[in-house]
Amino acid sequence: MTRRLSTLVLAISSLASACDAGTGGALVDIEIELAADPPQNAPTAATSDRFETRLGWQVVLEEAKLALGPAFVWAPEQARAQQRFGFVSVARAHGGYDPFSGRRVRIELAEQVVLDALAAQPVSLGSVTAEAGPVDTAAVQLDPPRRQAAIETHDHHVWLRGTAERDGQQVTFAGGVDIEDDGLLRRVNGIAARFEIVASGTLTLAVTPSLWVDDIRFERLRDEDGDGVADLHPDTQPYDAVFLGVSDPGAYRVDFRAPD
Amino acid sequence: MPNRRAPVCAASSASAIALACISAIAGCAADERGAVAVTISGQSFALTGWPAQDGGETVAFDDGWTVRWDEIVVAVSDFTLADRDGALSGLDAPPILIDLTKIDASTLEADLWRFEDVPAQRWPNVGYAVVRPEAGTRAAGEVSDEAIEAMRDAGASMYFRGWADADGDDETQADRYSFAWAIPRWTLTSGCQNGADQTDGLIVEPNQVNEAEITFHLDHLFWDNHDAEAPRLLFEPLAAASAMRAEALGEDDDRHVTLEDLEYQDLTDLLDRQGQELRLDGDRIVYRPRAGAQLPKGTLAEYLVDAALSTGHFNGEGHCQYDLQD
Repeated sequence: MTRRLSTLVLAISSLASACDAGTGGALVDIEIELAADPPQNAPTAATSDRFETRLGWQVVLEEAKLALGPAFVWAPEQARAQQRFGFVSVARAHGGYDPFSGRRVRIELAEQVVLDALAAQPVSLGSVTAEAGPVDTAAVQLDPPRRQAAIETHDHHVWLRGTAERDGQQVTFAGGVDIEDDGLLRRVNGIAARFEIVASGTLTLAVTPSLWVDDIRFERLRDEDGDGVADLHPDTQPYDAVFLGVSDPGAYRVDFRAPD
Repeated sequence: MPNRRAPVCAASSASAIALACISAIAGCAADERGAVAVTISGQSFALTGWPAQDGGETVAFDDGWTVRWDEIVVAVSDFTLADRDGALSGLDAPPILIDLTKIDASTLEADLWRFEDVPAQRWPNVGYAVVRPEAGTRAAGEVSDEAIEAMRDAGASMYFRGWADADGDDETQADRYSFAWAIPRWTLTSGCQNGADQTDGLIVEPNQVNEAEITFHLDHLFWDNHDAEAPRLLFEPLAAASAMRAEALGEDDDRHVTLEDLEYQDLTDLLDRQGQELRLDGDRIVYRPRAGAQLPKGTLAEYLVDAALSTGHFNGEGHCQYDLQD
């Protein structure tokens, strides 16, 4: 296991202590792991890689990978790290407003990782330094993949490969989806995360890949090059459905497990 | 007609620069008091709709629709000032009903409450509620009985009624749609940023009347993307929903857009009035809700309800946290 020192957490702690006595917690070491979840409330037996979508397609995913990070877990609103008492006049963008700007970060996954949404078991990322205390929401950043992530996701933000079948029609599909760099389009805010961070606990960041494809109208995929595989193309419903799926905070789970 | 919007700056997710606590305000003014006058505004757009002139520029819908208001009724209450520890200033702000389209055009604001004897200090946490009106809720100015009845029937905290036309203010009304939306939820806002100075909350200065405005940004109702820097204003998918529901029910299209109609528009597959993929200038339109919105069914109805309940701001552009309630 490797230790990742979250310098941002330390910076926030020292900055906040002058103004926010009583809301800063002790620095503690915790573990972080990535995981994949099966669909919730599935009508039939389902796993993270085999499930039925809400449109009635039976999907088997053979690959599902997401370039993810950084990720943040925020303290409740009252524990603001940085009170906006400064007088830097900033013309606020009307769209793209980040409601979590200035919130106190208790856990930060600083690096980009590849989340294998079909992994059978959780994957440990090692330990980080976090700030003890309550949290109530989390966010993940979905940036273009770099280095190893780019290899695994074929240079896309998210990469999918699998088959879908409905009423005798079968579609084999593969492709990646990319997210524009516009405002907060690459940020998934508002992921539920209500728990207390304590020393030696484990943070789990999980995704439900079925929600990435739940709204795909597979009948609109086309095998344009005749290789038997329909590709995901921008400016199509399937492509946009995946974009909305990976952008949905409901497709993510952030939990914390205190030590035994 | 040019589609212009006020210029925007790059959105930033980074935290603002923090200074040391301004203890001088919190400490030295402990015994001093000021007054707070709370007003409400729907900005000029509550009176004009779109297209309209704003600051010398024309603000118009990107898909060319004209939208005009008949009524915009909201019920607000519980204006709150709290310090960093959550201690409240003890204000009494009972619910008030108001029609934003009836506000004086010369001031663009209407009085709600006035509080005397408020401790002079920074109150970093400003909030208020947009609530369901009850029997006896006071109306500030003219509010129609029909609107109040519609709100009570739907359990609504906000009521929007108006019309839209794909051909502008066309007298033939060949492409005219009406709409009426009673928003069946309510919301608590908190942690409002002050749009006047981009700081948290409100500084109550001693021995003077301090102004606080609840500002409703009605364009949010028609945004296609709450995460983009420059969202588009669209009405086409709302109009299309009227025909979609009619077709599903085997009825004639009444061209009156309701929330029930909007249930028929799937956010992952929005259609235009011709039943084709919703596109603008050749690009497919994908709606993206505001950060943290919970839209379990993924319909345009849920999207619009969420947008409506997050139109409230503070002192102009000041954003707030929204806690939507059923």
